[in-house]
Amino acid sequence: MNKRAHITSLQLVLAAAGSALMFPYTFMPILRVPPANQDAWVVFLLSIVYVFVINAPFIYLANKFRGLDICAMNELILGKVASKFTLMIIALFAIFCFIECMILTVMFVKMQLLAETPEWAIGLLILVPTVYAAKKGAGTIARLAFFIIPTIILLLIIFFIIGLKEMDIAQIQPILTDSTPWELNKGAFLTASRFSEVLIVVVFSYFLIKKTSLYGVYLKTIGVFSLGYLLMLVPVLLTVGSEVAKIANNPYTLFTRLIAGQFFRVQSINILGWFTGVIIKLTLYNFIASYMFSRVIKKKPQKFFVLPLAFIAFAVSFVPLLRKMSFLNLIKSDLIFPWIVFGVIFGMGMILLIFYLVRKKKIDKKIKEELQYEDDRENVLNEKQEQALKDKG
Amino acid sequence: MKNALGECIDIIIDKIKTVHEEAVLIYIDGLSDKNLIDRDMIAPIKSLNFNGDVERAVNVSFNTIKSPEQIISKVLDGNAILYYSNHPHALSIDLKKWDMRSVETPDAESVTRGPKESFTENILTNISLIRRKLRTPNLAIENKRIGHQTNTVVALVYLQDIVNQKVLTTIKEKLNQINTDAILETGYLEQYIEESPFKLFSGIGLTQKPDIVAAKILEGRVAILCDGTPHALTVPELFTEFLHKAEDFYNRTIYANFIRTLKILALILAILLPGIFVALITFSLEMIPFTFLTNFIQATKGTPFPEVVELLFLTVMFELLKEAGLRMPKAVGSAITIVGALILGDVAVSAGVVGAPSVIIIAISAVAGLMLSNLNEFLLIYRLIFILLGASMGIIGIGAGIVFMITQLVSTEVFGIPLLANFNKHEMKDTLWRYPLKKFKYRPFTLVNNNIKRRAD
Amino acid sequence: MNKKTKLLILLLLLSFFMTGCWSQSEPKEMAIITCTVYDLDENNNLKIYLDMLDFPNIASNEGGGGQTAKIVTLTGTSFPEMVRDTKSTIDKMMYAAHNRARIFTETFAKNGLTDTLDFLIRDYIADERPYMFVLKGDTDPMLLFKSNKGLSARLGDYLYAMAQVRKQDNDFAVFKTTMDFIKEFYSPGRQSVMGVIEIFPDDTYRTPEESGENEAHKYYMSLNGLAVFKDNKLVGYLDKFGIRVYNLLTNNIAKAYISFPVEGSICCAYSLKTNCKIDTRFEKGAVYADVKLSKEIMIVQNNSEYDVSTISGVKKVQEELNNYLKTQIEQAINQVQTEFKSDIFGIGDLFHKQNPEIWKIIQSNWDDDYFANAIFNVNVDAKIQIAGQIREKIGEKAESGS
Repeated sequence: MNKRAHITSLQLVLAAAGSALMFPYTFMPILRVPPANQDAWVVFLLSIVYVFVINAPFIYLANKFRGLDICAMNELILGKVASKFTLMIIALFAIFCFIECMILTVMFVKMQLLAETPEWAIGLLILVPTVYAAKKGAGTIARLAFFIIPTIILLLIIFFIIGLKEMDIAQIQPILTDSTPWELNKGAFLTASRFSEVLIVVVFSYFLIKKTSLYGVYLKTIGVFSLGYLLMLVPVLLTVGSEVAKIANNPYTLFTRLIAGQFFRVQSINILGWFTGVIIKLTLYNFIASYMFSRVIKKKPQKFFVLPLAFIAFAVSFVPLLRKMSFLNLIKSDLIFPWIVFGVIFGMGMILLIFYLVRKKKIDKKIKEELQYEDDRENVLNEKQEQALKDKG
Repeated sequence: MKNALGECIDIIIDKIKTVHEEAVLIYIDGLSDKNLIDRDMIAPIKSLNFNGDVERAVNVSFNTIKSPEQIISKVLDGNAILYYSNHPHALSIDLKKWDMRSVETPDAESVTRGPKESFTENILTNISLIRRKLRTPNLAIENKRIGHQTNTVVALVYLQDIVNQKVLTTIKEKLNQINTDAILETGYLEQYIEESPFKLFSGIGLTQKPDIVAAKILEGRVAILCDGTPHALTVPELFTEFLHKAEDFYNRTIYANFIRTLKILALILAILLPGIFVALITFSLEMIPFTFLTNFIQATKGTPFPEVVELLFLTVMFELLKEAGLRMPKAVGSAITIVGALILGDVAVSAGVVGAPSVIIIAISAVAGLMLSNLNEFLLIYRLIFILLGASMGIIGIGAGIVFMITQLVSTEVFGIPLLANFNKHEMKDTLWRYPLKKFKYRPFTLVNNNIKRRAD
Repeated sequence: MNKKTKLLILLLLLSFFMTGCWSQSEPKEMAIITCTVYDLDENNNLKIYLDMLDFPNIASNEGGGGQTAKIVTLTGTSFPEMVRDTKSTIDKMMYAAHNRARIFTETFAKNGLTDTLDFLIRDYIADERPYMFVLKGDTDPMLLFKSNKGLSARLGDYLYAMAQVRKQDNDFAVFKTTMDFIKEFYSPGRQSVMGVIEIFPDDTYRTPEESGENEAHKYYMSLNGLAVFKDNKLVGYLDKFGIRVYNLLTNNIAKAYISFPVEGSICCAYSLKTNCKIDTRFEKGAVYADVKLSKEIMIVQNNSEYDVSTISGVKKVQEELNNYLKTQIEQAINQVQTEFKSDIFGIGDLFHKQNPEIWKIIQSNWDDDYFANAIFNVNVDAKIQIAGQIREKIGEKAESGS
């Protein structure tokens, strides 16, 4: 890895927000968290606050250490040995997200479209573009997201406009009377805990061209994510109603089945957009996991780990226990997934923050040295390239 | 000299007796203007006033040659060589004249608005056509001779203060490395310069019109001309070039953007339409409107093959038709076209070999593909891939294929510049749809290293 | 290494193209179902009638009108099993995704629809778009297929087309899709309703030779009806004026015409705008509902003695219309309250929105207790906006200076 990939902040925003939007696109967990009624949109607005709180330690640290990647950050705060441990935790977390997302996608495809196709064929179809894109590196993934995610958001807007005719404002009334504040807050917390994409923002911030403040990027990500989420949640609530949508496995597809029913069905376009978005999400997590591994085991580059991770996911999807819908429902319910994300993102973030604050002065000095070292390295590389060019020309 | 040049009927080696000494005149009949040779070279030295000073006597400008090898190459180029007996060096006089095609309209790139001249086979004419568009001292033209047997003149044309230096050095390096007998056409050069013969994008554009070449040079690209062919190469060529035909800039904004929208739609149709059709028909019948479904079933009721086979068969047939239409002599052309169209369109459908909807889908897709002439390999391969993916895995396969395709596009680099480089904030004014010309302040950001402003301030 | 891995991946991809595609379905091998009728036979087994499209087996492409139909009867214990019954004589895969209408016989509807609904939502092919109807009376479902289908080819198409057209201009019919039905079922304060098909013998029946058509129809279908459900079981039907009241109260109004008597003669009004506002409150252990119906109408036929272009005439005609509508509304509400005890108007939902605290307490007994004993105050306010193209009634002379 001689040359660092370069991505713009817009690409990063779109990649992270788009990846975060794939959960509601698939099964909209917010409809089942307490209070599980027509106030789901209020729960979402409240959960944005919780998202800021949960992600705060990580983002603060990433902003302090901007210019250095997450592994350098861990090393400086915790020292070399302990940082390997935390990096492995992050890598395992990324693998967990990757495997869960993949199994969910395979099951949904099998349920909705290709009922007789065996899972391995669907898994192979998902993994081939994922591996191909993840091997190409961070720059390619970000640019890929730059093309695909705006298309998905455009599709969401178009469906919203087409579905306006079917929407009935009475479906979300009465507002806030059926839910207690405790239920609302619990639901908001559980929804906010599912937002694991802060990891993407932090890991990819190393590749940004301009080393400006990370807060702007983060805020834009949350903004795009909220817009997309509301574009999905509000039509579902207004057309189908929260009661029916709750029991459906894929509420947004249920919504798209109902609109424009006379002349053409937009369901197929919806599925196309959903699937491409899911592949991007999988690519991002695969990249993060392989990047972490490549930093822990320093001899091999990032590309080397992409294929083994994909194989692991593929093999795991064959375990009979994990193919049962009941087990899957357990994993994606509120009992397991949000707590794991909360533990890693908030828990580890707090630990790192505490260690940082304790050794603040020493670490700040080291940051400056590291940044200088990185700058020098980049300058040397650039000079070498220019020299080579002059020699040829 | 005679041994070196060989006994050819058109190589004339004359001895001219002057008042003082003998002179030798070497030229190639058919490449030099005999009248002018007689008038300006032979007559002065044969006159009785000749004082032995050859250089003053001839009426035309000349170059001096000091070595016999240079004589050979100059003679083969079409110059006339005059060697006066005891003169230390020979004179090479450029009195070239040969029969060539005049400047005509291009046959492959016709426009309704804009200049209608195209390149010819003579490289000097071509260079003059470009020079008339760019009357600036910054225009640099570098010559090379490539090919051991053909010694073809290849010219690199660029603007010194705007060109992308990385690309220029890469091209020069690659041209220097060419080790072959013959360069007959820019196509040969293209295949030597490109990074890999199996990549879908060579990054090298092709054109016959000098105004297009001039526009591309102004954006920091390098043009490569080759003697003997009217096709010029422009390097590098990015993916969205298929949208930017020169006429685009001569028309007004709204109409130009409308044509661009059509081209983008054509791209999507050409690649995705057969695949999506197959995916929906084979896997997701519930997503097709009911009336269309019933008509489709009625139309394909008696056909023996599944949809995939029909589509593949029709794709191949259409490519055959296209190639046959290009190559056949004009007299036979119309007859073959009628037969081909009738066979594919009408009779195959009535005979029940293929269904009418398949013919329509492939026709739309192929016609859309004809609008995009410089993306041939890309369209062909991806159309087939999408048909196969759609037939085996449905809409999901199409989705995976789209991600794969965009990943490949995004990660390809031509001559060090990413293929989709112009999708950044600064260049979006001209990438998909173009703004009015008045708003173009800067040259393409990624192509040009220095001298970004178009305007003189 | 790079090239080899690419080649390997390519071979893998190609291999699974060759091994066969599992979920493929050829349209030519599908029997497309356009209408289903659900019935219970004598042993309380499920019985289903399927109306399938068939295309004549012609090799060449002859245009137009090649569709025929087959009506297949199957019995079984569950739907998926029935559809794949080996006693069936259809040699193609059955495909129900383009189903247009679902019809339930009266016995079936009275038995309860919950099981059916579960299948309809859960199955990934059967979806929520078809319209649902109840076949009134003890009629043989096969008569449906022999009835006059208007200008459509198939029963499913006919019902679908009728729903599209009549929804907009007919006050006396209700068309509910499966999704509407399910949504209403899931609302705690509302009971579902469904459209009704009633088959009558056609008095104008002529033999094919006499009528000159290919097929004469002995029966015709009437779609004016509303089936009232309670907890997914059929409890009764509303007559046509009751349906109008249903449409008015649920703001489901079409551009319909209302004929009303004015002192013996008939006037006909066309609704330009209708709005129904229901305010609910809870007093002394009973639910009070104030129904305010405001209408803006256009008189299209005036056979009464009043001149609808004068203020006094307008007032009188309006008064007659208000009284007429008020009586109908009160009658219909009364019928629903006493006979059916099923809240089809959605008063419960409105009550939930307006008095959410009290709703939590009373929602469990809503239909039988509180709705059945609710007190309705109906107030109709119709305003004649436009009185048509002429002023005085036809036949009367206009006075000068007015």
